[in-house]
Amino acid sequence: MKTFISPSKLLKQHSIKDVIINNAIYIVLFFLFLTIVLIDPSFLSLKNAGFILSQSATRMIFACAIAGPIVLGGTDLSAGRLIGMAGLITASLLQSPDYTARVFPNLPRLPIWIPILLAMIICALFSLIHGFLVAKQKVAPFIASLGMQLVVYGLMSVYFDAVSDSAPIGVLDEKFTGFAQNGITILGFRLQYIILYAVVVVALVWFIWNKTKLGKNMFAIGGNIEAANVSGVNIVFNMLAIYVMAGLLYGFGGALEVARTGSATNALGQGYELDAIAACVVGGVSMRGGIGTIKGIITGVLLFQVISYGLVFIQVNPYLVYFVKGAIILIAVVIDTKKYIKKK
Amino acid sequence: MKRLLSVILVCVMLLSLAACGSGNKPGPSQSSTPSASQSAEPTKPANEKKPVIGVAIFDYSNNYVTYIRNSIMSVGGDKADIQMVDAQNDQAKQVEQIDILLSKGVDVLCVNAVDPKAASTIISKAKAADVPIIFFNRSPSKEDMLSYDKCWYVGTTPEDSGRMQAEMAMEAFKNDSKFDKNGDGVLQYVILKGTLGHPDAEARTNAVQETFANAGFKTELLDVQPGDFKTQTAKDVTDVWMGKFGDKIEMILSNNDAMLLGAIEAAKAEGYFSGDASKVMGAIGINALPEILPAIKDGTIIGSILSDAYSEGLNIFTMAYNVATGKDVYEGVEIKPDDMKAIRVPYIPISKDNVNVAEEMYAKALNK
Repeated sequence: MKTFISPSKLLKQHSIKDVIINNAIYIVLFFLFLTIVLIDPSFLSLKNAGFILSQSATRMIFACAIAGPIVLGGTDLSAGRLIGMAGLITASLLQSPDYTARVFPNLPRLPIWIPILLAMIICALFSLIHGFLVAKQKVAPFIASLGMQLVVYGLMSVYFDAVSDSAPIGVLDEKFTGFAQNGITILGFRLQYIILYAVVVVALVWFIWNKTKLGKNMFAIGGNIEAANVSGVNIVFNMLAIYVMAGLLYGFGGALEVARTGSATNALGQGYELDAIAACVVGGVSMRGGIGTIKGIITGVLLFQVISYGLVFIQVNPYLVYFVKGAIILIAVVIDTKKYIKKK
Repeated sequence: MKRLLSVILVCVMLLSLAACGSGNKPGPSQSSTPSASQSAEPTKPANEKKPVIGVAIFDYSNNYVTYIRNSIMSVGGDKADIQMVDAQNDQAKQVEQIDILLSKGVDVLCVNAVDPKAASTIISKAKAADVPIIFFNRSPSKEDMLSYDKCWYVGTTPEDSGRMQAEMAMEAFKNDSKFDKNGDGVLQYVILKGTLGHPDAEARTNAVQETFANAGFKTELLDVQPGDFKTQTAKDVTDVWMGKFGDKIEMILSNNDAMLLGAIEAAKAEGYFSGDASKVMGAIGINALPEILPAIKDGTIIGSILSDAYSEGLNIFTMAYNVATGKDVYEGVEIKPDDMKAIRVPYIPISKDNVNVAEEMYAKALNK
């Protein structure tokens, strides 16, 4: 049961040096934040905080979703494309009824929950197939998800080409964009509804991870699959459940992403899985499986968003932004490896 | 049992793929087989076989090129056997595909190069097989173009779209005092740039600034940020601008419409572009995509610059068909070639008054 020791417990037994090493990522990020504020103090405003939170909302959902397969000891490269597929489906079914060039001109005005639910179910089905390949057929998660990524991209591109001749699907129903973008303004801080949905999703995932048998089994499988098997955990069922949960969240998050940005193409979602994985790693989720906390993941997403928003804000050379993000990921991975060695 | 399940799984997936494929339009699917094309026109004598035209596309998922390839199919699908391939934005793959097309014995090649610098490789292959080439959309260098007498180019002048965008901005700013929000006579603007290093992104961004400078028009460029030609990236960038500059921005100029859609969405959350007369912001795109036309029509944005995909497709096919059937290559082509044998289709500025021009172009391009 070694795997259940949280990193914070490990910390208490060690010296200040260890504390610094273990928190190096946060220290680096704090200095980056400080640099941004020093260059342009107007960065510290409620308005910017509101934007950063609303930009983080869907990313939190994606990170919480992808964290499941990672904690199981795998990964999910198909996440971005599934998010894109969900976005395309909802966008194509929820265009403004006043727009004459809709992709489905005869479609009645649907209540927004129908396409969202449809997108969630379709994503869940693909994730179920993916989970089946990994859990039952023992395909390496990297390869299985790479294959799924291409399959999903191919299918969504065919759909995109068939319904809209590869032109962006835009002019969405205001009910739908409002569902994500509307909100309330309190003292200059704009709380968009999309943030509330993210909070609900995060709470739900936290509950599943920490308070249910499924969550405990997930950590057990990720920590040591043989041990979990011997102690009577139904490996296949639990893994499938985690994958399906991830799929449902990709679907919901993809729909929100398109409501947030107002249009979709088949390029939607490209590379999102890497952002989500990076946020997880920075937040302390181990790529070796079995370790991770929701708190860490949320911190990871927020830190990444503050930095990428901040670097644009102070007008850093855009090429340099890649460098900074890459360096942050590398530091996080080094720390993860150090923790892993300690665990052994 | 396990094996059976996985076999069934694969079958279902393949079936669903086949089902999707069959519902497809002629554009993206492969051409008809030679036997089918012969039986299609039984009245013609047997020796008057349809010419075979090989078309190499750089990336099927590119919007604009999709309109071009649909136009080629809708103009020439009946007259020739058109074999279209997708390089998925990979130059190595495209060179292999061109080898295959050449070995199949196409009469003429139409090439939308992934990397225009690779044109010399493509030209030497075609030269060896004595097959003429029509390059399009991405221009090879003049030197490459002149190295082979049987090669031509159909495209645009990328700088023109940026120049027209700047001209549209100047006209709007001069004619409508509401855009000069701070009343200083200087246009405060931001540019959403395409992918860094992309030839169109660089050409358009530079042309906008040069046009302003040459006209002696007073501007203040608040920021240029790359939006990768994508809606989502542009939306995130514009969020930052709203936080940083807010009402200081008088106009957003975007390298393409997809990014402008994202920018509008971000600014909407701050009350712009939603009919509130006190919240003014100008916006001009490039492409005049169908999705942006309603916003131009109702005056939400100033306009966009239409790239005429239909005329490009029409000219590509006409020239390819001409050389394949032994006619003069420029027969029926209305635009005069320049000194590198290039036919440059003009851009058309689209504003509130001429949205129908864009709508008609799309109707023709999609053959609806």
